[in-house]
Amino acid sequence: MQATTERENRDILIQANHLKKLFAVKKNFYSRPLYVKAVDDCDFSIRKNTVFGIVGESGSGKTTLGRVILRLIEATGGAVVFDDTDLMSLSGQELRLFRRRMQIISQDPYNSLHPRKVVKKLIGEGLKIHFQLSSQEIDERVKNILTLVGLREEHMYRYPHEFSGGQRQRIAIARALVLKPEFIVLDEPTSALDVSVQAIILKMLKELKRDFALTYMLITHDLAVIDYMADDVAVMYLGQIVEMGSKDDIFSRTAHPYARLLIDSVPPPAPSEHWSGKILSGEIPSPIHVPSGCRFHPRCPQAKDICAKEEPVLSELQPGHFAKCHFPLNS
Amino acid sequence: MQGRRGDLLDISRLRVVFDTYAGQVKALNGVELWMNHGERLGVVGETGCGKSVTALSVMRLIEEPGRITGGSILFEDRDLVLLPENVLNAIRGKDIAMIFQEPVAALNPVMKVGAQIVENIECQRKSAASVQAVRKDGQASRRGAPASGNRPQGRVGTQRISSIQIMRDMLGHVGLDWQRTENLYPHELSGGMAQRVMIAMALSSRPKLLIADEPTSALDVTIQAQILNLLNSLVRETQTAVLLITHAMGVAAQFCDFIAVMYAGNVVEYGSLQAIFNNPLHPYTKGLLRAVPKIGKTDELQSIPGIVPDLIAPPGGCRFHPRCPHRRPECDKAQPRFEPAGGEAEADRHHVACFLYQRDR
Repeated sequence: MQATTERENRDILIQANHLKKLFAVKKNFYSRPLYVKAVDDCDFSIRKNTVFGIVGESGSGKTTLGRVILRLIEATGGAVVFDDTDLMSLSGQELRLFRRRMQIISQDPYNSLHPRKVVKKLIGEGLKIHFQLSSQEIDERVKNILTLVGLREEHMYRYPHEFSGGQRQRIAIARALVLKPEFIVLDEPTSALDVSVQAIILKMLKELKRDFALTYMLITHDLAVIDYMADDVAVMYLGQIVEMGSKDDIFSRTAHPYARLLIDSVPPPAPSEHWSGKILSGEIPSPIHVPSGCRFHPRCPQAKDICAKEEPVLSELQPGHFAKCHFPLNS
Repeated sequence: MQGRRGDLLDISRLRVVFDTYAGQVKALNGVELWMNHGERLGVVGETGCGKSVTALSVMRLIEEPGRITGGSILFEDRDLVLLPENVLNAIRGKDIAMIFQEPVAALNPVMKVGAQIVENIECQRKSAASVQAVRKDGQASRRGAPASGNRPQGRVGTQRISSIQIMRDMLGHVGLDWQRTENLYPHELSGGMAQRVMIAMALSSRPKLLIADEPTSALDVTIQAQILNLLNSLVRETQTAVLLITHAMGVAAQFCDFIAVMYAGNVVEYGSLQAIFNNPLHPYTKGLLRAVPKIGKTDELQSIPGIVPDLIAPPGGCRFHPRCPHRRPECDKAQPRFEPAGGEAEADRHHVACFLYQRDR
């Protein structure tokens, strides 16, 4: 028994415990601050060499969660364990050494690249910081990584504005990969791209994961992208994980009514497939004044009295399949 | 040239260019599409293919440095390309209404939403009245005089009250509580609410054609489903035709009756929903459909190699030929004609612009 837990532990790259991030907002200078609960008590673990997908509506705290994990913003509470090291306890110097191992690729390839730096500088900057390399070696590595992401050597001396959206996202991927990271947060990597370009980028990300044994945390609002890429999925609502499990758990054995309605609201891109058109009424409430009890109860078609009073716990229905609901579906 | 194809809208050989310092952008290169009263046509394609320019051309909202250089846009019995501005103003918003991708940006930020909708209704009334007045007098010279100027004042008051009533009814139709909503400013609305207000405004004049330019692209899937359902029931009630512009194939597949696929300024394929999705002919349509990820079908995605061409110097012949897996020698020499695909029911209207399917090859 102990042997298996140990092995499981070795398989886990990232472990998040009770992560919390509150943002203080003030109506005016003198008023007492109110708190936006962007991420509220999230627990999850990411296995090595898998894709952990996070899906939810805008305002559910997906992006904040991704940034808290990397300590790009400081958490209000909780811990992140990256490969046996508690990231929250690291000092600035120690954290910098860890930065090489965890990278982020953000949504907007138009704003994430410095407009006045050529590609060689954009990609080479990280190399300069983390490795003591001669300029020839940097040149060599930048060239290699560019070919790897489908760009050419001559692109090295061009500026970001000379590239299309898809090419810029390739540059962002190259910039992350050149440091040989183990873990990459992909924050809506293809939402700004057209479908044909999205297909190329997603395929490439899959291949790179295989070739370099990478681990991804994929944040997106597109359930079809999650289905294509992810191994495990967490569904977020108002800062909390409401359902978590393997991809099949989420799509075929959906337990949380919110996850079910989210999946049902995607119009299938084939006229032969009937769209149930079941509709999730209302809109995501303000994360400042969260509803009592289960946060989803005002919009939930199955809500009963208890849902407004008592907050359900994230409980394990099947091994590895968690849902935060008093009355999970299919049980 | 064949005769009239759609009794509501018939766009043929429409060309639009934009003059820029870098050169002339040939944005539309002979667009062909048509629709009947009450039909729903989806225009799909990737960024920069000319979907929105086509929509703006129908409203004649192409502004400097852009201009329409050829072709015709027949709306019922009139050619919108040739109409003078004052006649167009009576059509815009009245017969053809439009909703946009960014609903909050499309609303006036310093005016309450109720007042904006009322203004729109009054505007329709005035321009309709002025066109009638011009027609009655038969004198274009009196066009400048306000048509309602010689009416008794009391009439205007009752009209305003009825406009307010229409506004409140419309807000109710789009699922908003007018008592709560009419006094809000646009920044107080969520994206979904703002799009509902836009829909209320657009449909308040009972248009014959509603142009929806990416109406749900900025919204979450759950709100998208709400808006699509709402639009669906509203236009079914009023038999309004919809020209839906979208890059989301799922939205087009679930909402439209007919689909036009655009690439680099051309409609490359046009036909019924079933024809396009079940029997795509053009290599670009096939590639596009294979690139869309679907829930439950996780087979490998296929991408289209190459990139969208620069429309200042587009490739000669078929604009898709540099990326086409079925390229033939003739493809870079002449533009393929937009022709019926043949072999299918006429009701499918399946047309394609590709040398693979031209009969006199």
